[in-house]
Amino acid sequence: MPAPTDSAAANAAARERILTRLRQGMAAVPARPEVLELDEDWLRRQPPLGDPAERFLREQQSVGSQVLRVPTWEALPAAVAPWFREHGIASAITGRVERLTPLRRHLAELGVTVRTYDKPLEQQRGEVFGTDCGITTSAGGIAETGSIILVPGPEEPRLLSLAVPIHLALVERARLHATLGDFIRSGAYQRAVPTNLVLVSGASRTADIELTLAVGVHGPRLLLVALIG
Amino acid sequence: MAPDPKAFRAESARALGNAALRANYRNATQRVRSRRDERMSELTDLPALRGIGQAAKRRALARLPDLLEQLEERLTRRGVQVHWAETTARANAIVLEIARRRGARRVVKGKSMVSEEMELNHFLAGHGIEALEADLGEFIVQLAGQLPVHLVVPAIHMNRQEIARLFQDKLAVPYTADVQELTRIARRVLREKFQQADIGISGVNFAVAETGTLALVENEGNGRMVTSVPPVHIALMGIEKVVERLEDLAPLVRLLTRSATGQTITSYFNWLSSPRRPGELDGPEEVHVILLDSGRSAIYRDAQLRETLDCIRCAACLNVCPVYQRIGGKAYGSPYMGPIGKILTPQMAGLDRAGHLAGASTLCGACYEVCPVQIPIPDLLLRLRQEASQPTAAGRALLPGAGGGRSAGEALVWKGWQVLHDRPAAYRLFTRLAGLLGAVLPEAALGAAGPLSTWRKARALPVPARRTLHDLLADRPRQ
Repeated sequence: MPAPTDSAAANAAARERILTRLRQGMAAVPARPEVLELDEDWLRRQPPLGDPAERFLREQQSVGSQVLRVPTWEALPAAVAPWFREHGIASAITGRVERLTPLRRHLAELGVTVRTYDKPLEQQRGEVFGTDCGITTSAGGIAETGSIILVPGPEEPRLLSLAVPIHLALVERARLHATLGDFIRSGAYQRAVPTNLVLVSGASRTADIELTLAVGVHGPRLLLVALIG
Repeated sequence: MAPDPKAFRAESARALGNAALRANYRNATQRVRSRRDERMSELTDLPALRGIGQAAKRRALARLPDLLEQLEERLTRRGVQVHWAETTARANAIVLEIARRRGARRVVKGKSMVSEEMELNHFLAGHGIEALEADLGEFIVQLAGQLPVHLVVPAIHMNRQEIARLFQDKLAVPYTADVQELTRIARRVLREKFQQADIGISGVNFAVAETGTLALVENEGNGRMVTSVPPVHIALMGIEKVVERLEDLAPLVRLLTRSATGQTITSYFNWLSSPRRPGELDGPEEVHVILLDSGRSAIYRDAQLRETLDCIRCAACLNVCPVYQRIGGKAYGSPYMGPIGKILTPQMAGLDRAGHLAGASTLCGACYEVCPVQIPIPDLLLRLRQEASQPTAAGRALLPGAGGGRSAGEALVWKGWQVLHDRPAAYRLFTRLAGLLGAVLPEAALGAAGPLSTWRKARALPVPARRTLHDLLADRPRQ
């Protein structure tokens, strides 16, 4: 194995050669000016979506998610409790989110074991991979495609929405964007690029065997979505 | 298997003779096609959207070296290690260096076409490192000791009974041909592997220069697993995957998922930008990006050939190709099969070794019609056929193996054609003789063993008319 300095030098040399070839190519094929323009009209188009909240939930339902609407955060615990009975959810895990305290308390009263993902994965692997339902808030949603915008971070780590068989996502109506383009143009992502952002538009699915749909291949088999507001 | 004209013919013949295999391909490609068509027909602005998708790729390629530097700068600033590899051998060596430094024994891999180009699994196994595929289709073909036969649905050639027997054999589970049950078995096996893996490897669908973002499009969650659970993440990407602005993702992903699987969007659209930051509880401690050239910078130097690099790997061209549907993916001997494989593989592997792939097309144009970024694949096929036998000066300099497909026999035939058409007397003599002898000569001269025997297997030999068109016109009464 070459010493690190050798591989650093090899890397710099490869970088130089690749970029040189590309610069020659750039010079050989002058770009037409129209290629460099953005089609602002298309990017700003507003497709007819109807009511964004209705559209968002309809898109989620069309890929098998269960959805409900609640008027306020206060009404949330009682509204989602029936899901826990219906799906036999015995354990749930959340991040360190103040806002979820009433929900956690309510679930505990119903006999659900409620855990917190508050230590590094390496120290909490068993609980993270061994809980029935992960509950997360979100940074909003995209109406056109029914996508939930998750921005995992210290308070709500990535695996809360991935390692569990059932994911309950809480989305505020006020934070719905009409299209992916609208969300991008809001500039929220560019202002403070997070380690990870993921748009979730349904449960984990595959059609790799005879193009037959199967859910829960690696991530959750069921997505529950509560739209608040 | 590498591209090879003999192997291509042999494997095509074998596939054509296998009725079960043909049924698997036919059923699967038809189903993806109808889903794709349904989603596309919902778009009222499809022609505009295709133009915008193509423009986004072209705009990025027009400034490719600048954007790669910008991407590198953004990623490096956040602690991602960026590596440059001119060849697949070098890319493999970089992965191995990282693995050795980490003392890694086990690697788990999400779907990545670049890793197929590198033959990474094979390479790592040779160095005592287990590399396991996590995408269900890739997992199935790896278990079967095969290679993917489709860009998006790797095990499209197998039916559920074959997969059931494979799982029974290799995973020691009871036989079941239930798709949900088979999926559950794979989930159980791979869950363990994600947690044990020392390194996770993924591909990249789009890398955004503006923000330094790696964007991955997937449905299963294996891409999220391999980039979130193991302590090291290595992302593999061809240098053509960079786009200029975050805004470009909106039209491109809209086209990609509709074209690939007929979905308005996939379950997960995953954006990554850095290793685990202080305070974060999961995600990899180390993130590496390997930028692979492997022939792309040569393709980039020609205005026409550059269009090959617009491809977003949706595989819609495979699903509509009358050749791919019948011979399947294996014959191409390349990770890239079907129409896109026919233009990409010869440029990467060399026209001398893979030029025959450009010939394996009827030029029907279905691939161009369906391509979300409007790559003129038939034009590129013709260009490559020309470069293979009679390179333009630029072609010789650009493409490995240009001129390598030249056949002395074919050259002689064309030379003869030129001589006949240059000399009116010779031409008249030839047509006269053909008219006289046409009815009797071919059976003797071009019979079962003659030069046209393969062509004649499925076609009747045309018989030259006794009188030429010139003769007939000369006899016509003048007005």
